[in-house]
Amino acid sequence: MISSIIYGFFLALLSCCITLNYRIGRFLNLSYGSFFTLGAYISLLCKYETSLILSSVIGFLVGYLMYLTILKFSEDIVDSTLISLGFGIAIEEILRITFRATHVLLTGIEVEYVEILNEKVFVFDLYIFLLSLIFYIALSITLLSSSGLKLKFAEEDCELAEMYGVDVERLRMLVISGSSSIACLCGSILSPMQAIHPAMGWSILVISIMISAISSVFGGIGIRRYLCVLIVSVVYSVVLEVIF
Amino acid sequence: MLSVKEVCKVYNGVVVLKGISLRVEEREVVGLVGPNGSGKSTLLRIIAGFEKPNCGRIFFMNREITGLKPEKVVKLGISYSFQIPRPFKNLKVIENIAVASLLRFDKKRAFEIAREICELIGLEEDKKAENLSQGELKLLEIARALATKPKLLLLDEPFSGLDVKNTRWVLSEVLKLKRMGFSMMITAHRVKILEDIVDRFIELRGGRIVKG
Amino acid sequence: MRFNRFSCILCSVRGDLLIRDLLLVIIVFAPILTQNYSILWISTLSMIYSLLVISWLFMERQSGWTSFAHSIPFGLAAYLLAIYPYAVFIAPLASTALFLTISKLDRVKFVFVTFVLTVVFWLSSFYMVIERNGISIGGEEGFSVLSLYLSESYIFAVLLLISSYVFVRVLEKSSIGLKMAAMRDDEEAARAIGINVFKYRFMNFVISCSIASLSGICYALFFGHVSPDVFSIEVALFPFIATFIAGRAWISAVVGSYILVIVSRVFSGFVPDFHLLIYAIVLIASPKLRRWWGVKC
Repeated sequence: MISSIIYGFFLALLSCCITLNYRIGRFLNLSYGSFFTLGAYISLLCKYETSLILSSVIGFLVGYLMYLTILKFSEDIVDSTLISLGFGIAIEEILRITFRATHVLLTGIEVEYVEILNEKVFVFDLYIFLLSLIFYIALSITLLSSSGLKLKFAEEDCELAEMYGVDVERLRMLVISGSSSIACLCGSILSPMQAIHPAMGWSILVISIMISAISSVFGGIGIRRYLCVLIVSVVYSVVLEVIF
Repeated sequence: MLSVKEVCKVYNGVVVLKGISLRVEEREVVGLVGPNGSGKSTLLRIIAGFEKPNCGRIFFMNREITGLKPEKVVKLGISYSFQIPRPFKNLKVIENIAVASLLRFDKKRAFEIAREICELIGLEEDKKAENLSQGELKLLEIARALATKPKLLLLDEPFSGLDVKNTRWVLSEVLKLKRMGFSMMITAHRVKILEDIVDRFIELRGGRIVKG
Repeated sequence: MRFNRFSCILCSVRGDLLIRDLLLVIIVFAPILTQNYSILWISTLSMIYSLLVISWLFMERQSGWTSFAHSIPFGLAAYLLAIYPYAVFIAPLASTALFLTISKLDRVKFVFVTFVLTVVFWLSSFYMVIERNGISIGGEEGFSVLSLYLSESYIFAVLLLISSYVFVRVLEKSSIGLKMAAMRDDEEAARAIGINVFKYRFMNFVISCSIASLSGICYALFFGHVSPDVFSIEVALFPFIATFIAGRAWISAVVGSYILVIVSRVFSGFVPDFHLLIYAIVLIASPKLRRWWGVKC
């Protein structure tokens, strides 16, 4: 049960980023799964601890490149989504061409676990849980502050927000690059626990999109929207564990 | 011909139309006037089938048409032209009109009728709809509605957004239709613009008929 | 300036119907003259994919709905042919029902949802396992299908391609095509002139899914084997990429397919799946490419 709740937090983190990309970035980020994969592959190149920092930085930079491309080429939501899909496929194929092997296991790192309420929970899962908590705390503080008002404004109407002095483009850049960095970091954190292969991010992308879509049905403004995402993610995860 | 009985419409708790009853006879031109938000366009959309009334009934040629879909209403003989023109942008003028004629005729005859209407209205056949001016778009809307061979034309603010020259042009074409014996229901903000066309006025205010 | 001149030439070629039809005949029949096995093989595969692109383009061009899930009718038909051939007709019907359901959303969400469904189908196909004669078959390995000889596959593909090409061209010019074009531009205005939008959308989706299913059947018979690759994102994106490379005329469906198949075969000798990078580049450049193809002479 604890593991499934933690997995729910992980999905919530990614789904929130998808939601932020959609509402502020104004597109459906289909490259998200590939950033997760990129993070996993980065951990093959160096020490685990270094890979966490490196994946965050690389994720941010590649995300920024994607933002610049969208800014330059895109005219509407479909254009931006297609560009993100192109980036996703490009990342996956570059990894496939570079690493050649279909599945890789990260060795040399001990997969430790702790016991919480008589249940074994992997340490890496706890790292993700911690990351999710930090993200939610940061998001809550932001949304409840004056910056949060600007964020809500930009979510509802970008053009009007711009007219009232909100730097919408800077917000977009931060959301797109920041969320890419988070996805990359997640991939890196969880790399010791998975078989790393270029297509590993697609299932996570699809689940995140579905959770984001389901939680949008319930609506909500500000932090309530993102808490709704968390609830849906946890429920999904728990139900999955119960059924399977 | 057309009989509207106690029609009402509510949007999100706001009463837009309340107890509207009116008649339009054959060969009659009725002007529906009123300020913004009085419910003129809503009434026309309800008659055309784009909206369902919350209460009341509508009869056309002694047949009830309340709640019928627009594609069925137009087959019965009521044609609607939009307030903001909605041309088929990627089609030419003649194709825009011919596709409406396909409702009753085969392709060959539909294009013949489209050609006749283009001549009548004064539109260039082969021009692509996306390249038309505002006045031409309004006329295309009317031409397309005509092509369905209607018994009753519903013209939703045919003069809105037009300059003086284009208003005169559209006005003259609508007058032509009146002389040809078409029954019409036309909405506008101001009485003056419709004075020469309509047989009588119905004034709406706050969703109710105050005059006519 | 150079781009505009090139696109003008292309427009004038595209504008000439006879030349386009002649081009199709040359592309389809020229490989027979070579009597070269490899060329015939590539040509057959290209024609199979051309069918898929025509089916996609028919939905996109005639009804205005862009799908990223044409791998579903393609793959479903191939799988049904392998597992239970008598039920192969279910593929176009089920796909049509799926597309019609998703079309309740707007056109932008339709694009997103179809892509998500493609990924779902692809990931689920790895778990498609059945028992035959006490042995579990399918999964990642896929299923075997009775295959045709290359010459038979080639003839089958030629017949399907030419009949689909002629069919869509004739339909486009007919009154049904005109109504679909009106519906594509503005559904509400189409309803105002008596067009039953649901009926024509249904018709459009059925025709599109049927052609895609035929393409899937042809694919299965050509290779003699189907695997989860038939549902892959690559297959789903193929029509989109082909039309962005070669344009949105019907002949472009064929030309684009040939270009993509040839490029993938050429590069696969050096770097496997390198052509997918080309897909990525086309997707990234798609907004620019769309505006470029929209340039009028």
